[in-house]
Amino acid sequence: MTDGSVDNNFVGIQNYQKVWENEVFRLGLRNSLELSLICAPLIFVLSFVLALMLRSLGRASLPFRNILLMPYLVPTAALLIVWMLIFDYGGPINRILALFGVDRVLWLESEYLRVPVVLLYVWKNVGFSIVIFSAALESVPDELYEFARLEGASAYKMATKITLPLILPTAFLVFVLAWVNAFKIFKEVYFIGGAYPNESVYTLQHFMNNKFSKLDYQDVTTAAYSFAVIVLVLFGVLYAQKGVRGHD
Amino acid sequence: MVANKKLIALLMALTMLTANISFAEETFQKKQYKLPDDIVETAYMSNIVYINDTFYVLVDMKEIYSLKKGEEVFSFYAKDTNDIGVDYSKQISNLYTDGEKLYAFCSQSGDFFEVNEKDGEVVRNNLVKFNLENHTETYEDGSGKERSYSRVPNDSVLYNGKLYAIYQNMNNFGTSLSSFDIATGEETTYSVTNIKALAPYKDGKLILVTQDEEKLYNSDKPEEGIAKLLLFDPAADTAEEIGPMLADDGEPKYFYGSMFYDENRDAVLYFTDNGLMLRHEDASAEKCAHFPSSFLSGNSSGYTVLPGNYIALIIQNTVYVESTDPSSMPKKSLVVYNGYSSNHDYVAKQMLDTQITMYEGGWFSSAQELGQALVSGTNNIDVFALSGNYMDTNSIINKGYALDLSAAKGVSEFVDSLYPYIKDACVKDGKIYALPVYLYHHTYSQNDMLLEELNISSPKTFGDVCDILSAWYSDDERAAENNLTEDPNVKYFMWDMLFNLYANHVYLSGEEMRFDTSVFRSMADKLIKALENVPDISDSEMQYDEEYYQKPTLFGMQSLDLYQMSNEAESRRRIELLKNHPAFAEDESYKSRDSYAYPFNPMVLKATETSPEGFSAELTLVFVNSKTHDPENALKYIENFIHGYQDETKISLCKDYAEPKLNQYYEKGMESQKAHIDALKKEIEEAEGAEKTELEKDLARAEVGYQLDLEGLGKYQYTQEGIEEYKSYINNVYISTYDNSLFSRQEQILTLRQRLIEGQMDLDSFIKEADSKLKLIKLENQ
Repeated sequence: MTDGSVDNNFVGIQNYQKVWENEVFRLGLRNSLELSLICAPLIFVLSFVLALMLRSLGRASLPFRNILLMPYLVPTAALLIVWMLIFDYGGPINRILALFGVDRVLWLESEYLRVPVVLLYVWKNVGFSIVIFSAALESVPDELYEFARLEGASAYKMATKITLPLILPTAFLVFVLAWVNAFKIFKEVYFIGGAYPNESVYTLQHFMNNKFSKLDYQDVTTAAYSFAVIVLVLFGVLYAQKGVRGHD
Repeated sequence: MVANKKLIALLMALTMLTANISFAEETFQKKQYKLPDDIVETAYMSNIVYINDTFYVLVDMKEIYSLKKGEEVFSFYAKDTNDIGVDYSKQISNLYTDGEKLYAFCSQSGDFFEVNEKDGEVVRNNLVKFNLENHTETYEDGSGKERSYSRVPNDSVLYNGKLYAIYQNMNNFGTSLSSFDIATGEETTYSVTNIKALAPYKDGKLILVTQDEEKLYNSDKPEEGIAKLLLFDPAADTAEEIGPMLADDGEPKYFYGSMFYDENRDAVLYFTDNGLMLRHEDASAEKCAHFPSSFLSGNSSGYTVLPGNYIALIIQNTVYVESTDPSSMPKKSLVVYNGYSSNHDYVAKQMLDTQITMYEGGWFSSAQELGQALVSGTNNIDVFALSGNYMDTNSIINKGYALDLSAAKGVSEFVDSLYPYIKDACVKDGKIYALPVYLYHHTYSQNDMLLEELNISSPKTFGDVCDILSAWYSDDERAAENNLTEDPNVKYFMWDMLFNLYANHVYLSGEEMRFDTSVFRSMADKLIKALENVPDISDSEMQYDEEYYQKPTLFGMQSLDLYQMSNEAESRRRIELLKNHPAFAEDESYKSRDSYAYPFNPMVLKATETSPEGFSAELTLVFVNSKTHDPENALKYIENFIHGYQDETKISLCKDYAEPKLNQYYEKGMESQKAHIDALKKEIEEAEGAEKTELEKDLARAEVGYQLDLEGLGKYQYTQEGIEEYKSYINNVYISTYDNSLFSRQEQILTLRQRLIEGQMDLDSFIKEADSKLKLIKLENQ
C-alpha cells in the first residue's frame, strides 16, 4: 500500500484500483484462468484414462509408465527447443500441413501459439498425474470390478461409478495440482514468445514480470496478492464439496 | 680547549648523523609532475627511470626530459638524432638504470648503450648490439620488398649486468625468457615458459609470475592455469615455486599487469586497474596505493620504484609520485558503474583525496537488474552511467533512485546550456537528476563523390533510396565495381532503414506507435518491389567476401562526423589530385581512402516527402545513487564531471558551444613527413637500379602528400564551417529511449521483423501481430 518510491509513501488501495483498472492485467488474468481451465481438465482426463489402461496391463505397464513420466523429468528448456523446432514455420508440423494443401501457420507468433503451449504443458505434466492416479487405483479392490463385470457393467460405467468415487480425494488432488500448475504457465510462453507474446497467451505472470522489469514493484505485489486471493477462493469452494474431502 | 674540541667533535658527529638519516630516508611526497606546457598536450611519455635524485622520461621515443629534485616541471635533456626518418629500427624503445647510469635500448636494431648528453643530443656510449636473430621475422611490404621486424619484448628489466626480456611466442600461446649481456650482447635463453611478469629479487635472482593461458581458457582443468609466483635463478636456470600469485577464491583468475619486489617489506607488489596491491605470504593482498583513472601497467617501463615506499608512474603524460604505504591511501571512496569516459578520467585526477574505483560486480543487462541491486542495497554503487536505449532510465528517476543534482556547483548553468531535448532527459519537475555523458546520432550516410561520379541524385526520402535500389542492379558493371550499402546484406540494410525512418516519422509527427498506417504500408510496398531485383546472397558468401569491403560504397550508417565535415573540401581536392597526378598513375590506393571509398557524408532522410525532418540519438546519462554513502563527495564528483567534456562532445551537447579546434598534432605530422622525405632522398643517393626507381616513386608520392598537408589539409581538427554544418543537422533530434525505440529494439518486434524480411510472414500478418504487441505494451504501462 505504498507508492514504491525510495520514500515509500502510503497510498491506501490506490495500487489495487490502478491494477484492476488496467486492461492488460485483466487480459492476463483471463488468459491464466482460460489456460488453466483448458489444461487442468485435459490432464485430469488423460491421466485418468491412461492410468486405467496401465492398470489393465499389470506388470507390463512399467516401461510405459516410465516413458510417460520421462517428459516430466526433462528440463523444460530442453523440451522447448524441440517444440520450437517442431512448430517452427519450416518445421515438420507445417510441412505436413503443406502436404495436405493447407497454408503454413505461424504457430509461434500468432494466436495459434496456444496450441503448442497447451500441448507441451499437457505432454510434460501428464506423467506425474498418472503416477498419482496409479497409486490411488491400487487401493480399489479387484472384487468390485469382478462383480461389476458379472453384472454387465461397461468399462465407462466401472470407471465413473466405481473407480472415480472411490479415489475422489486423490482425483481432487490431481485436479488441484494440475490446475494450480496450469496457472503458472509462463516459462514455456516466455521462452517462445518473450515478454510480449501473442495476446492469446499473455498471462498474469507476463504482467508481473514486465512490471518487475520496469521497477513497478507495487503493481507486481498487487497483482500477486490479487491472484493469490482468487486461487484461495476457488480452492476453498472446491474443497467445501463434501465428497472431495473424503468419505467418513 | 680540550672541552671545546670535544664539543666540536660531538656537534660534527651529530651533524653527520642527521645528514645520514635525511639522506637515507630521502623523503618523497605525493605530487604530480608534467612536461612543459608547449608539448604536454601532444607528447607521448612512455618510460621513466630515477637516478641520483633525477627523473628521466622518454618522450615520443626520441627525446629525453629530466626533472631534478626540487623542480616542478620536466625540462628538456637530450634528443636522439639518429637516422630514424625512414627506418625506425634505431628508435629508442626503453630506458633503464642500474642505479648509477642511464641506459637505452632499441628493440628493433638491438642497440643497447649508455645514454650521455652533449649539446642537447643523445650520445650513444659503450654501444653493444644484442643478437636478436631469435626474435626477428621477415615479411613483404606492400611494394613486395622484404623487410625484417624484431618482436618487442612484453616486458624487460635491467639487473645484474643483464637485460632480461619476456618475448611472446609467435606460433602458440605463451612466452619465453631471454637475457642479453650488456657488455657482450650475448643472448641466453631459459627453460622457463609462460612468463607474465618479472622483477629483480636479490642475489642475482628474479621473481617471476607464470600462467599457462592455454590451460586457463582452453582446457577442462582451468585450475592448472592459475598464476604462480616463482623464484628464478638465471645462473642455474631453475625455478622454485613460491605459491599462487593471487588468492584462490574458487575461480582461477587471469593475471595481467606488472609487479616488483620490495626488499624492505619482503613482499611482492602488483598492479591492478587503478591501484597497487601488496601480496601477503598466503597470496591474499591488500591495496596499498590508489591511482587516479584506470591505469594498467603492462610492463616495467611505465613506473619506477622509489625509496621510502614510494613509486613514480606515468599516467597520461603526467608523472604521479604516490606512496605505497596502505595507511596513506585516500580515506574517501566512490564506486562508479560504467563510468568509462573522458569526464570520469578528469574527475579522478581532480579528486585525488578520493579512491574512485569502477564497480567490479559485473554488468547489469537491464534496469530490472540494476534497480534490484540499488533497492536491495547489496551493491556499493555511488555513481552510475546508463544508456537510455538499453535501460529505462525514466523509471530510475521516477522511483527516486537518482539523487537530485541541482545543488552541485555549476550544474544548473551547464544544464541550461544544453540542447533542449538533452536537457529534458536530465530534468524532472524542475530538478536535475542526470547529466549527459555522450550522444550518438543515428543517421545514415552517403558517399557524395561516388554519387557524383555515378551521376545519381542525393536521396531525400526513403522512396528515393528505393528508386536507386531498383535501378542499381540493371547496370552490371556499376554493381560489380561499387557497393550500394556498407552491409553486404542489402535486404537487411534496407528493411532496417525502413523501420528506423518510420520510427522517426512516428515520433516526430506525434503519432501513435503502430504499423497499420498508410505511410508504413506504402514504404513497405515500395521496398518489397525494389527488392525484387536484388540478388539473394548466402550468409557464407557475405561473410567471406573480402573484396566487398575494398570497393567504394554508396550508403552507410555512419554517425555525424565533425572531422569529416570540416575537411570535406580538402579531402576532395586531395582525391582529385591523386587521381590525376602522374606520381600516382600506377597507384590506385586512393580508391580505398576514406573519403573516396566510404560513405561519410551525412544523409538525413525522411520517411516521405511530408514527414518531419529529424532523427534519433542515443544518450548516455550519469546519475548519482540516491542512497550513496557519501552524497557530498558524490556531488563533488558531478561538479568536476561537467569540466571534463571533450570539445567535440560539448559541440554536440551545448547549443551555443562552437569553438573550432586546431589539429594539435599537425606540426608534428609535418615534421615527421619532412624527416621521412629527407630520409628517402638520402636512401635514393645510395640506391641503384630498380630499387632506386621505386624509391623515387615513393619520394614523388610523399612530396605530393606533404604539399597538400602544407596547404592546410588536416590543419584543423574541426573548422568553424564544419561546426556550423554539424549543428545545422542537430536541431531536429529526439532522444531514443527504451519506450520510443520499440520498433528497433523490442525483442518480439524484432522477431516479427525477421519473419517478415525472410518471407515467412506477409505484411498484413506482420502489421496485425506487431500492432497487437505494441498495444499490449502501451496498455500495460498505463
